[in-house]
Amino acid sequence: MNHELTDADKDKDSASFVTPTGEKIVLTFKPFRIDVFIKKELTVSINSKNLLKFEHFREKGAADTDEEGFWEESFKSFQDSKPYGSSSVGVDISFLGYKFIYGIPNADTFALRSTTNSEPYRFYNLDVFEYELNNPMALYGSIPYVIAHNQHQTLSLLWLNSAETWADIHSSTADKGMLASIVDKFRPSSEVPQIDVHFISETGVIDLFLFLGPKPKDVFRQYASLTGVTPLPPQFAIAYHQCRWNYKDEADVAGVHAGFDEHDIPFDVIWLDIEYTDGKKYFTWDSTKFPTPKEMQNQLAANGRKLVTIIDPHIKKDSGYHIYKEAQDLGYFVKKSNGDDYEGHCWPGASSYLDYMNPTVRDWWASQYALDKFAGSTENLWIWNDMNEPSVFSGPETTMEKDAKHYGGWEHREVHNIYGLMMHMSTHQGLLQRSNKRLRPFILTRSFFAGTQRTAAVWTGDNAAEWSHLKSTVPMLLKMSTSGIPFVGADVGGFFKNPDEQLLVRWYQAGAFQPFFRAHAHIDTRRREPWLFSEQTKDAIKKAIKARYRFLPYWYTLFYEHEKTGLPIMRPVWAEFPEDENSFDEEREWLVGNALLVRPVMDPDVTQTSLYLPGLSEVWYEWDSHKSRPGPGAVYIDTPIDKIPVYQRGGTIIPVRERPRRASKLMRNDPITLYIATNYKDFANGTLYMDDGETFEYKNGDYLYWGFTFKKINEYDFSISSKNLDTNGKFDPDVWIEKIVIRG
Amino acid sequence: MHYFCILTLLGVIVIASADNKQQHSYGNRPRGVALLKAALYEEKDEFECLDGSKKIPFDQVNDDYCDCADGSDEPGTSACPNGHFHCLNIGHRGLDIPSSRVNDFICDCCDGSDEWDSGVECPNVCSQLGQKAREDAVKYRATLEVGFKQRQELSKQGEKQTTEMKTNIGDLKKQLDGLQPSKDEAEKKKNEVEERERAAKDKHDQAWNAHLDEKKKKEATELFEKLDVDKDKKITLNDLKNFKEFDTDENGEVSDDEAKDYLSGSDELDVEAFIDKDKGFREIALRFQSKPKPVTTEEKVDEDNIEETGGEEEEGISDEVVEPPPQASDEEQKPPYDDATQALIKEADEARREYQEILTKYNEVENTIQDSERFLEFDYGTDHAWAPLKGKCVELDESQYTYRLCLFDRAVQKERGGHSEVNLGHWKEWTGPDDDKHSTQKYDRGQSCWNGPERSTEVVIECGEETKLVETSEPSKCEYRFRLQSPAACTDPAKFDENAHTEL
Repeated sequence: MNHELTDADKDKDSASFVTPTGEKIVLTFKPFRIDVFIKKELTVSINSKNLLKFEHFREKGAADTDEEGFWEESFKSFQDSKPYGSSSVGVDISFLGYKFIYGIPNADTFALRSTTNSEPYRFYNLDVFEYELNNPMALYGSIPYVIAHNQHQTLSLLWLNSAETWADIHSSTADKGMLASIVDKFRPSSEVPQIDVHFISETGVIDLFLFLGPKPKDVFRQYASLTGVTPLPPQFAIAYHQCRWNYKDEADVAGVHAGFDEHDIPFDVIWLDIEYTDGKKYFTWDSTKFPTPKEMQNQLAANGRKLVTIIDPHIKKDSGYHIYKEAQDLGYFVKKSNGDDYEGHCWPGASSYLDYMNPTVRDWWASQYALDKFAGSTENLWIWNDMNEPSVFSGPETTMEKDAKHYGGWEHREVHNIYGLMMHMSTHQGLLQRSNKRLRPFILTRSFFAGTQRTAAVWTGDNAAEWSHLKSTVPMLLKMSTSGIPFVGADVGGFFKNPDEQLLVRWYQAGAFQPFFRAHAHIDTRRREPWLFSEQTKDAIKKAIKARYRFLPYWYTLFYEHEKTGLPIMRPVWAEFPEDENSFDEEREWLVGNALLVRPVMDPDVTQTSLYLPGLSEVWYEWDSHKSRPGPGAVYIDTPIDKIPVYQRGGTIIPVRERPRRASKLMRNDPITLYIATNYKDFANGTLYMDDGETFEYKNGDYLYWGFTFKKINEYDFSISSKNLDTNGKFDPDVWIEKIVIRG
Repeated sequence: MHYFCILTLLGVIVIASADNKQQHSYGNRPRGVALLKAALYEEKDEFECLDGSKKIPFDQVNDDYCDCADGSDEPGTSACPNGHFHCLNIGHRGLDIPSSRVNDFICDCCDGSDEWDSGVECPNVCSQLGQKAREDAVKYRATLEVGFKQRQELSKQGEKQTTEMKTNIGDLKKQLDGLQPSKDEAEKKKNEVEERERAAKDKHDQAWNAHLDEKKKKEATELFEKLDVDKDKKITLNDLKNFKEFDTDENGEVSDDEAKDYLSGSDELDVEAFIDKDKGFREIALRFQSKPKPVTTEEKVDEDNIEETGGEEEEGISDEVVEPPPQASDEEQKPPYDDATQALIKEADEARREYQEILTKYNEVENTIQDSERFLEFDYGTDHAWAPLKGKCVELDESQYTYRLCLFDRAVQKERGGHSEVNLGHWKEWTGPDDDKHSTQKYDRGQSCWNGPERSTEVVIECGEETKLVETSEPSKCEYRFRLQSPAACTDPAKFDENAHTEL
C-alpha cells in the first residue's frame, strides 16, 4: 500500500495513517513501535518488546566485535569463517486478542505451540534422515510465515528472509505481558489473550509483511498477491502417481503399467528414482536397464500416461560427464570461500553444486531440458527435483557450508533457504521452453520457500510407514496449504519401513483426498503394488484410487479457482468456518474446497470413527448414504476397511465423473454427474471448470467455467440452472451431464 | 425436506446423445453382448438386469446411462463402472473388457469394436493376431508334446525311485532288525570284557599310586627334617630363615613374609600339614632342586622390583616353563601291566573292534533308511515327476552374477569371475495357488541383507523341453524371482486340445 503521511498525521513523537479499509497504523518513534488498530482495538504491535535488532556488516578490528563467535564459529569438525562478522536481524510482533496462530510448515502440530519452554521453531532447509514428528526442528523447506486467527479477524505476517531463521512463539494473556500499559489504554478487558512472535535471522535484511484480512480467505488472497499462486497444473498431475525407489528397468516399468490395467486400477504417472541414471549422472540413462527410454515413454503415453524422473542439483565430479564438464568450464558451480569449486558428497560420490543464484546458470540449466539436449526425453517426461536443500552428505548438518560463495559474492548463509526454489524455478523454465510454452510443466520439489508454489508441487519428504506419520500428514499438509503452497502431498504408504495392509489402505484413502497423491517407497522396502496384497486390500486400494478419479472434475475446478483467488485447495475447518471455535485446533479432518469434509481413519483396528461437523445452521450429507446431519456437532460413523468418512456440505454442488478409466486423460469426453446438496434454505450452488487438461490454450480462452444453481421457486417447484460464469471461455467439449443427484 | 433423488438429464452443457443406431456386428443382440449371452438380451418390452434387481424398458439397454447395479444394461457403452464389453474379435479370440475401456481412445479389441464412438480409428488386426496366436499355439503345443513325454518319463522314473525307495526301506528295516541281535550281543560282550579289564587295571593302578604316595611322604619327611633346624618337629618362620633359597626377592635376607609364603600363609607347619599342604612341599622341593642363587647387588634389586610391578603371575608361569618339574627328569616309570591284565586288554580290544564293526554296518543301514525317508518326505507332484530332479542344479548368467538353483535344496548368487557366493534361500515349500500348487516354489532363510530381511527366492515354473533357468530378477530388495522351465511342468497336450476346442 502506498500512503503518504500528511502533516496532520504527524507530531514529534509519532505518526499515523488510516488504510483505505479503516485500519489505523501508528508509528511511535522512540522507542520505535508500530501499532495496528482494527475497529479501534489494538491488534498488532511491532517491536513492543524492543527486540528489534540489526547488525550491519563489519570489518575485522572494528569496535565491539571481539565477542566469542563474532568472527568465526565451528560446528563439529566444520569451521565457518564469518568474513562480515555477526550480522543478525530480528524483531518481535505481538498479536492481541489471539489464542491461535498457524503457519510455519514443518512436522509439528497444525496450531503452533508456545516455545517458551522449548527450542524455537527453526527455518533452515535440511535433508533430515528419519525426521521426528511434533518437533519444531527445521525440515526440507522454510516459510517464515504465521497466521493469527480468531472468530473476528484473521491476520498474517511474513518475515521474508532466506538465511537461517528462528521463531519463538509465546502465548499469554496481555495483562501479564509487557504490553500491559498500552493494552490498558486501548483494550477495556484485562483478560486479552496475546501471542508474541519473535523472528530472528542469522543475516539479511528486515523485510516484514503484514496482511490484515479480515477473513481467512482475504488473508490467503493477500498473501498470494505477494508470493504468487500455483498456476493450473496439467490434469495428470492431480491424478494418481505410482512411485518407488526404484522401478528397476524398462521391463519393470512395463510390468507395473500392465499390472494396473490387469487389475483395473487407474494411474497416470510412473516415477523413476535415482537408479535410472548412468551412475547418478542426471540427464543420462543407465544403458543396460533403460536402453530405450523414448519407447518406454511412448508406450506409457499410448495409454494416456506419463513418466517422471528425478534430477538433483549435485553434479557428479567426472570430466567425462558433459554436464559437469560444461559447468566446470563455464564456472557455474558454487564456490568455496577460497574461490575454488565447492565440492561435497552426495549420491554419485564427489559432486559439485550448480549455482542457481546466477541467472545465466538458471538459463543454462533450463536449456538442458530441451528435447534435443536431454537424450531419451520426450514431452511425456516430467521432473522431480530432490536433494535441493541442498543435501550434502559430507557437509555440516548434511548441507552446504555457510561460507560457500554464490553469484554476486553472496555467501551461502544469505541464500540457503532459497537454493531449492531457485533450482525448481529454473527447471520450470526449462520445461516451459521445451515445448515452446505450449504444455503446462509439472515439477515436484522437496526443498521449498515462500513462492515455491509458482513453479512446483511439494511433498513432505522421507516419512515412515507408521500410523503416527499418516496422522501427521494432515497438520503438515494444512500448514503448507495455508502458507501459500496448495499442491502438496505425503508419500502414501510411508517411505521408510513396510506398512501392514491396514495402514496402507487407510493411507490410500487419506491420500486420495489430499492435493498431491503419490505412493512412494524406500529401496529396502518390499514391493507395494496393490495387487501384491490380499484381495480385500487390493479392492480397498482400488476403491480409494477410483474415488480420486471420480472427483477429478471437482479437484480440477478447485485448482483453477486457486489460480484466480489464492485459496488453498486443502483447507482447515476454520478457513470455511472462521467463527467455529471448536475447530481451531482441529487436525484430523479437513475440507477439500468448500464442499467436501474428509476425516480419514488414522488408527489401527477401528470399526467406528468420530468426526466433527462444523458450522451453525449447516447441514452435512454423508457421501455414500446421503444421510443428513446438522452442524455443529460430533458424529460417529462405521468405518470398515474400505470406508473413509466423507461429507458433502449442504448448499454445494460437486461435479464428478462416474466412469473412472485407466488414466485421467481417457476421461476427457466423459459425461459429468452433479451432486447437489441443499442447505436449510433449499439452495445450492457450485462450479465446473474444464479445458484440454494440458496446454496453455486456456490462457487464450480455450476453457469453460460454468456455475450451477439449485433453488426453490415455490412450495412445489425447484429449479436447477446453469450459467456460463465466464463468457471469455470458448471451450466446447463433447461433454454432457448424464446424471444429477439431489440430496436434501 | 428430506429426500434424495436422481435425475437423468440430457445436455446442460452440450448434448451428445450416444449414437446407438450406428452399425455393429452383433446381429440381433445389443452391442457388446457375447453370443453365449444372446438369450439374456432377446428383444422384449422389458429388460431384466441380470442380477434380477430391476426391470427397465428394453430401449434403455445401451442408452449410455447405467440403470442396473450389476452393469448388465450397458454391455456396449462405458456407462456402468462395473460392466463388461465383449469383443467378437472374429479371426482371433473373443474377449471381455471392462466397460471403462469402451470409447476411451485406446484400441483394446483387435477388431476395434470398443472404439465405436470415440473418433479413434482402430484397424482390425484380428486376422494377423489370430494367425500369430495360432502359430504360437502350435509351437506351444509342440513344446507340450515333447515336454509332456519327458514328464511321463520323469514321472516313471520318479515313481520307480519312490517305490524302490519305499521297498528298500522295508528291506533295510528288516536288515536292521536282523543286525540288532548280533549288535546287542557284541555290545554285551564288549561291556562284560571291559568290566573285567577295568577291574584289573584299577588294581594295578592303585598299587602304583600307593607306592607313589609312600615315596612322596618319604621325600617330604626328609625335607622336613632338613628344614626343621631346631628339631622341634615344626617348621617355623625362623627355621626357614636359615635358607637362602627362601629369599625370594634376593635381598640377602629371608623376611617373615617370604617365609610365610612357603608355609601356605601359616606361621608354622607340622610334618602332616607340611605333606598335606601341597604347595608347601612342592614349592620348597622345587626351590631346593634349582640352583642356589648368588647374593644380590643393589642394582639387581631395583631391576627385580620393576619387573615385579609388571605382573607377578606371569613371572611365576614362565618359571615353571623354563624349569620343568624335577619329577619329569628322573621320574620313576610306571611298571607294565602283568600278563593276566595284558591278556584281558587284548581280549577287550578285540571285543571293541568286533562291536565297532557291527555298529558301523548298523549305522550305515540306519542312515540309508533316514536318507530315503527324508527323500520321500518331499512333495514331487501328483505324478512324482519332480523326484528325479531333486538336487539337480541349473545356472543362468546375468550381467554381473551367475544364479544357480539346486532344486529342493537352495538358490545361490555368485559373482561372475569371483568366488563369493550368496545364499538366496533354502528349500521351503510349494507355494502355487490351491488348484496349481506345483507352479511355484519358495526358498527362504537365505543370507541376511544389510539393514533388511533374510534373502528369499520365488521360483515360477512353466513348461519347457528341458529343465533350465530362463530369467532371474530381484523385484524387491533381497526378494528374488526365478523363472524355471521344466518338462515336469508340462501338461497333457490332449487337455490343451480340449480347451482349444471349447474356445472355438
